[in-house]
Amino acid sequence: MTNRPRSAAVGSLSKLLALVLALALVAAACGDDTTVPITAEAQAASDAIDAAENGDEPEEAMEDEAIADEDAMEDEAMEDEDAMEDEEAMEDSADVRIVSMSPTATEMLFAIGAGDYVVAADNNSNFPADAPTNADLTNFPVNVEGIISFEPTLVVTSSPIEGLAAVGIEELVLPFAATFDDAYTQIEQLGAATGQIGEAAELVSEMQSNIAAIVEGTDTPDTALTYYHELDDTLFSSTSSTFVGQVYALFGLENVADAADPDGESFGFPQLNAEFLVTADPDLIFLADTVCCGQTAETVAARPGWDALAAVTNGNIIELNDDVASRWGPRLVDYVQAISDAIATANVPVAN
Amino acid sequence: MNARPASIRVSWIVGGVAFVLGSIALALVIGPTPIDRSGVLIESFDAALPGSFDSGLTDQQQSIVANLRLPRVVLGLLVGASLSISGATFQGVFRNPLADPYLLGVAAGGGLGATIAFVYGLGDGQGWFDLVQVFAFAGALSAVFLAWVMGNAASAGVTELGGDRQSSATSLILAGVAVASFFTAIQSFLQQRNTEDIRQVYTWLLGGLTTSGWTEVILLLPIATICVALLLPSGRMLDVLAVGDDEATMLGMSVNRVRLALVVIASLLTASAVAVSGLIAFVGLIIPHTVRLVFGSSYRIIVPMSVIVGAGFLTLSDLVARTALSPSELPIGVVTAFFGAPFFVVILRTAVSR
Amino acid sequence: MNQQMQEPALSVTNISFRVKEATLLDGISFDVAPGEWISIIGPNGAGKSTLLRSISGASRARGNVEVFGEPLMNLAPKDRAKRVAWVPQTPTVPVGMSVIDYVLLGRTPYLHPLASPSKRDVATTKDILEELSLESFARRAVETLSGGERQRVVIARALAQDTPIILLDEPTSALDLGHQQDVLLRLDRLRANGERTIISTMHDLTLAGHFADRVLMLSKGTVASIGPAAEVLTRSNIAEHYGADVSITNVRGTIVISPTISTPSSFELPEHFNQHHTPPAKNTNSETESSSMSSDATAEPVTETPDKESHRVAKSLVLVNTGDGKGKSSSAFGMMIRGVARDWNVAVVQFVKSGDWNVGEEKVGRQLGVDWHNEGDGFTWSSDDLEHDKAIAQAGWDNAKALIMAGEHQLIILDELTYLINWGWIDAGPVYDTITNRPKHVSIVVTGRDAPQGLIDVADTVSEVVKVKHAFDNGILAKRGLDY
Repeated sequence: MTNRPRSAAVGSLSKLLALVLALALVAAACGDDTTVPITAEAQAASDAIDAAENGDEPEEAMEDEAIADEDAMEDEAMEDEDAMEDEEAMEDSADVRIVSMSPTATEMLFAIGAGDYVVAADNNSNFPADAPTNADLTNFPVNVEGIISFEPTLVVTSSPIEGLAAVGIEELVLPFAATFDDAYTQIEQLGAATGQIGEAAELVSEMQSNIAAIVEGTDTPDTALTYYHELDDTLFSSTSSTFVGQVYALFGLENVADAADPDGESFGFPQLNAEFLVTADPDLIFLADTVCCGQTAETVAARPGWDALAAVTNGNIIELNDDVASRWGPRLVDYVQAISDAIATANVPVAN
Repeated sequence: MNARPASIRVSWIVGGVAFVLGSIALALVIGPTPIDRSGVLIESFDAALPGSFDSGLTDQQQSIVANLRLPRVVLGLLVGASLSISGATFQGVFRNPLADPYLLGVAAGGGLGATIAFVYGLGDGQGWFDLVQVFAFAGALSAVFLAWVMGNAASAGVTELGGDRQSSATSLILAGVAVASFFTAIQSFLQQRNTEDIRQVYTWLLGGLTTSGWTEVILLLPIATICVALLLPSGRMLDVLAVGDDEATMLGMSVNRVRLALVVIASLLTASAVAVSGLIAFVGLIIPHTVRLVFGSSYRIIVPMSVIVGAGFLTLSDLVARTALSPSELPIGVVTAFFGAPFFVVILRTAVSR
Repeated sequence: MNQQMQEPALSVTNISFRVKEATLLDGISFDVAPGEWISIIGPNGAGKSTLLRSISGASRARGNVEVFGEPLMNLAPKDRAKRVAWVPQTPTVPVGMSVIDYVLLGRTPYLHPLASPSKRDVATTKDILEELSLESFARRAVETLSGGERQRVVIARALAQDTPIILLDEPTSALDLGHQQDVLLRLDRLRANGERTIISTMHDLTLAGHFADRVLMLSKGTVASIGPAAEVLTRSNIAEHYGADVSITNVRGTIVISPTISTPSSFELPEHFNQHHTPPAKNTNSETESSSMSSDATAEPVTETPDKESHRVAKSLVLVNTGDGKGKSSSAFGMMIRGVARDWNVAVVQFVKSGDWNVGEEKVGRQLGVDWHNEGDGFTWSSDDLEHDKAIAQAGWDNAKALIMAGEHQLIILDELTYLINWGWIDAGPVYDTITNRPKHVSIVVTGRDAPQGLIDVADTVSEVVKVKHAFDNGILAKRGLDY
């Protein structure tokens, strides 16, 4: 056996492994499983049709809400309330019963004022506090009958749940967001599905403007700062190609993990070598494992060989909430703010 | 007559030690960070005898060698030796070529212990050592204990019915399987109820020396030293056990007492290794077999040679794990299985065709 | 040899062993003198192995076992193993273990659990290997040895334990005749100096009686009979406990037991054929019979034969012509002619002779319509092409077997078949089975020197042609018309 086929096989094996770990990672972060994305266009179309079928008389409480047409969905031109008035009426809000199997979706639903429609949320939907989290609603494995028992009219999930269609229950698949736009689109989709179109649009624009303002107001150093985003204490990280990577990219930060997964074999979630990290010596260390793994600036500093790291000696370790730093919902703004604060207070010697 | 009883040859020990030293040297000088090779070796001696050598490395390089590479290499040696000698012992005690150190539920027990620690947020790394290690260790030992109690209860029933002693080893293995299934079931349940910890659990289950430091070495070293020292001279007893419980008893061996002692020591050793390194697969199965095929089938040879070969093998496997996809880590279980299995087949073939 | 012993080497008192409701052993007691060999016999399920295991301590039986007055049951395994060694019927042979390592296991009771074998242990082991002529095998893996060699190795391990008592469970059951004899003779020598006492279970009653000083017959978990072979191995004892009909002969002091083969008595053979025939008979020849008569070893009746009333007609017979004299085949061809005269379908299979040699009988045979097969063609007779000859022999026998089982002949002559068996070219067992299970109306005549015991056992009539003088010995070549 020569070395070549072997290392190729190692590659594909590690790819497989990385896939497993990546899936597990997503699960850990949001209790979701990500596989088949459904395009916003198709989803919006199906929503519109659905709304048309179920439509009745508009309720007073909903007079400024109406179903969005497909174009409106795509263009994010949701504030044109007149156009919406003309559309067929929304279904009776009292009839909307949502089961959210995605923690991010749960956050979004509550943020657009559709929290009342959520009759149950999965075991990982831990925010906001009044979300009807149900410990028995799990994604691993998913219990379809358990979901049905809540008599939902709509199930929001991050990956298609087999069997729901068979019993005629509407399913809205909102997969792991790859970009900011994905995240905004999902909020709008939820708005359309719940008749909270206006609130959804408002939330999106608010998030957009807030984030823009934070980025604008952050004084980034001339030399790009490097950072390490830690997913757990065995040094799993995310590269720039992931959603969180894009968050850091807003500030022009440089991700040290990119070297570990140049061709995406680890799906953007490589496990880093400690020696490599010590050598890479990132300016900033973001801990997205404070909840899961109890990591703090102190525990990081106590790791063997880490005491000499610049981020440790300079106090540039940022403790993030695991969920905030992994979900693409309304708290994205908090996440961006945290990064901004970190940069602002970063103690980076000029010589660096 | 110049036939001699099976015994270890000096040349094997010399060769084995050379292999281990070579593995250590390789594992020390190769890494994601390029460091001057002689400097690494000098620094390693300096770490052993602080202040006696000047390696000429930068502080950061010194730290990498002393705090990252060296403990990882040492832990690899310890874990490899521990799993291999435990595997050899289990294979001998149960006269089962498929036996490995995880036979009596150590893996499942360790997995459950670790999962409990993760799920209840005990694995926070606070304090001097990790509670995950404590729980994994406790879980592993309780699984073996449970298997032992169940297996003995079952075999007592069999012996009362006039069945032969042979059945007690079988009962124990079956009890181990039952306990392992049971513990795995609980572990899966906990994991399923706490999906936010799922990745930590998976990572642990795959095993590895990724984040190990001197703490792990200090935890494992005393137990490993004592257990290995106790198991090393047990080869002759394993040879006696090879003729079956009945015959071994008639040859004057207190079979159940010997088996209990060996299982306890080997389990303790395995549980300790598992606690600091997770479930590293294949080592405990393949190394004793490889030794058997290369050096001879007497446990007087297999047991000590497994220690040497296992230590070197795991050190080299970990070297591959941290350099193959550098700077990314490859789970070591993937390496041991991926290189161990074909390597074993090659050895098996040459041994058969001999 | 009576129970008037000094202190017994082994004393078994009231051994009982129960499994749930079943009583496998019930109150067994006996003593064994130092240097004595006692054979435990009994039908299947009598409890022979259980008794041996109970004595050894491998099975936890109730009762008392003492070695030189010391109770064995309460001893630690280590101390027990210094007093009693056990040779199991089917030992577990660890793969790859060398003979010297295997025999060295016998030193276990003398070693601390964590100790290595000392030089003295190794020396003892080597002495024993030499004693049993095993030194040339010392490095070989035990599993590569033949059955006989392996059995010797297991016995060597027992000797390495250096115990006064050696228990052997069916030490010869897996061995052929020659190796049985070898192993038993060696055991006999081992106890010669009186330091070792042997208790063995035995399947073969003749061997059990021959080698042991006393025989213990076990039946349904109790001692049916114990004493010298001649007292225990009687027709009535064997009939009662084995349910077997046997002939018993005393050959120079050795009790020889052979089964009586009886076949159902419905009949089709011509009248006169019966009249000339003795009933299915035992295989002893008159020579040994008479010599045993003169033996003063025992007062027992020499031969017990079935009652005269039991004379009956057989559908067919198996005859064996053996011996070193001339006339075995010639006699068979005489029977061929008798068969033809009765309008039988007769077949002749010649296994070794071939070609020109037998033109005489073959020519006439074919003229008479005899089905003639020459299976001897193609033998190379060269030692380097043994496999070739074996294959020819096997093919020849396969044809003969097919001929027998087809049932188209009333008489089949298997000329010179014994050589194929004796030279090991074909397996003896299947031959005997085929003869035993032949179609009921097919008679068989087998010729050839040195008829093996198994063949004699399955035959009804066995004749030995004894050479008193042969022309060839005086340089006279075979005479056409007389010799072929």
